[in-house]
Amino acid sequence: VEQKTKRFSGFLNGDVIFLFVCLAFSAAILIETRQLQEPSAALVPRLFGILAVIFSLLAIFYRALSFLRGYEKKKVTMGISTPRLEGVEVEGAMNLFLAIGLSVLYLILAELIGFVVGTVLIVSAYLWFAQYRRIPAVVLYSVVTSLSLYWLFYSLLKVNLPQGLIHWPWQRWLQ
Amino acid sequence: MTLEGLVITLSWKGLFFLVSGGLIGLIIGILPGLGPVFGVSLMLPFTFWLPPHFVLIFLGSVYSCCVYGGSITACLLGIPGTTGNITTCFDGYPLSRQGKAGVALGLSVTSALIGGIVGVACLATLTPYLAAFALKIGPAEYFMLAMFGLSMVAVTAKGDTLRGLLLGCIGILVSTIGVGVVFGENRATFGSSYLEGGIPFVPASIGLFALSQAFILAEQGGVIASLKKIATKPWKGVWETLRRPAAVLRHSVIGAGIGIIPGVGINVANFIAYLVESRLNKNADPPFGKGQYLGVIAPEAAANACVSGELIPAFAFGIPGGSTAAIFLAALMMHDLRPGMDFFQSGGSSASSLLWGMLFAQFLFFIFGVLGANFFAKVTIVRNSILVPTIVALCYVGAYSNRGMFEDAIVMTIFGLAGYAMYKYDYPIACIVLGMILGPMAETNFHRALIISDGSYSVFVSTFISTALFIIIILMLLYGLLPWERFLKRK
Repeated sequence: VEQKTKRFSGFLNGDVIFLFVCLAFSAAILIETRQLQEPSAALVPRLFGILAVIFSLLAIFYRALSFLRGYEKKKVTMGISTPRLEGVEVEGAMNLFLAIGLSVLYLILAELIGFVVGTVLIVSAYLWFAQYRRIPAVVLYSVVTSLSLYWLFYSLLKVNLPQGLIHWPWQRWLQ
Repeated sequence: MTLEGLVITLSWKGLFFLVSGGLIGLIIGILPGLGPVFGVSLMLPFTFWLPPHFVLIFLGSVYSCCVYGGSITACLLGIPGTTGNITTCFDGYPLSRQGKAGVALGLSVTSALIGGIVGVACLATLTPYLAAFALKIGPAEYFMLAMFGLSMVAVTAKGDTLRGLLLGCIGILVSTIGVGVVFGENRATFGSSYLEGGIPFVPASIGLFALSQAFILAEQGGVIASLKKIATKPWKGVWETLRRPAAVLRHSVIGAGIGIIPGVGINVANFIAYLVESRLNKNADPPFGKGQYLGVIAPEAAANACVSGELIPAFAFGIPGGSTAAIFLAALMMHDLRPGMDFFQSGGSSASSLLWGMLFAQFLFFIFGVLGANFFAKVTIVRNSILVPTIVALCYVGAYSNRGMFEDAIVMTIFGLAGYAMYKYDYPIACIVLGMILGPMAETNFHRALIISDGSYSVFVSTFISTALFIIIILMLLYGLLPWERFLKRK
């Protein structure tokens, strides 16, 4: 049983999970387009939805087949391949989760407390966790980054950045 | 190209608008999410009070330098500044990782210069002939052209065709979300009013290419240039480009040709050029995707030639080749200038100033690119732990710059995570973008062609162009899907 569990967890890696996500997305689009009254409007989503379901199932099937036969995943060098990451080191994984977690947090913080403070907090937090412990340098870098981005995009290029629920004094100064 | 335009461009005022436009374009191009459409439309209100010849010099300079500017971050950080530089990342970034950032910048700036010159030459000389040909392309041909682009997926992802086709289909499905352009019905919106507007391309592409890159840099740690030293030799890149004149000219012509077809644009031109070059040199050493020089030269030459190509139908017939060309048309109309053949034949100094201005803009970014290469390349030895939060902040600004909507930032984050998974498991990421770009074009023209032909599918093989494209598509799919190499080896 233990061996089987090990084998199953080896099969169900990120690659297969991604294929299942593709399958679920295509199936969801197909289900949603069932309600359309105009058949022509549903033609393209249905056609490519069915194709995507077939391709996902085939890719999962081939992955399972090669896994059961004990083949290693064939490393294909395509014209458009990207740098391959060789394994995930513990430190690398920690940094990755830190980057993902802070990105999601940033999304929420920027809306709540505004772009400037949100950016200062997130940049400082990332640098702190990435072992930059010189507080003046960390604060200076995060404040300069945040204010320069805000000035360039909001004041100069008129990009509508989130102001947050709190009204900060610099919002008036930088306009 | 009369001498009157040259005199205006080289006057103090002309040079001021040329250089200031170039600098603004370069900065906007470097910033992810802000492309030439944003740059030119942002600058349009500042040109209300200017004479038309200076307006065209200024906007032409912004446009040209913006497209080149996007290649700087594409080469150094693997983050395309504009959608026209997406494929430049595939080989430009590996070169930077090998410590050859200066060479990569030299390659991109020289191929962009030559591509730009070819594009301006096409704009000046071939406008009437090429624009007449572009008018022969109807909805059926457009549909076939889009299918041709998508079938390139099967060829490029040879060896992993199944995943390439899967991502191509997913890209098309993503593009179908929202109100349908032909029938106006809500499709796959899942009850969300935000999704009625569709999945916005700019935040999605920032997520796929920029945010995912931030995650990869965070995981890798250290610095981008793995050797921790940089060969800042842009002149080597310049020389390596000049040693490959056939490739540069080939893709310059491809780019200008694609630019002429309305609605296609630089985002398709750089893909087609990259795919064509990677198939022509499939045994290249180093291979494409691992720092091949031609992988930088081809898309850059095509994208910058496409810049001028897009303006040809706009100025000749008033049909904009893309969104940026449409803003140029708006600028013309604001100054009571009418597009058409008259604009080039008797438009006075305006047409000539535009051509000279765009020509000098190519040399301007070449100077900026070569002189600034040493400075730009230093970014590759900055620690990733400093780059990551800065890139993440820039990604969010880029996502907001599109429409200022919180939901766009959510879309960017979701696509960032998906992009990371695709990088991690070696999926041909370009295929999903190709699907998203060509999906709406394919669908709209598919329905238009059927409406014109009263529902008869024979319209797709009714002309020489569409029939030829149809045959090429079938051959490409057969090539991609069938194991020819194994069959030939057995023989």
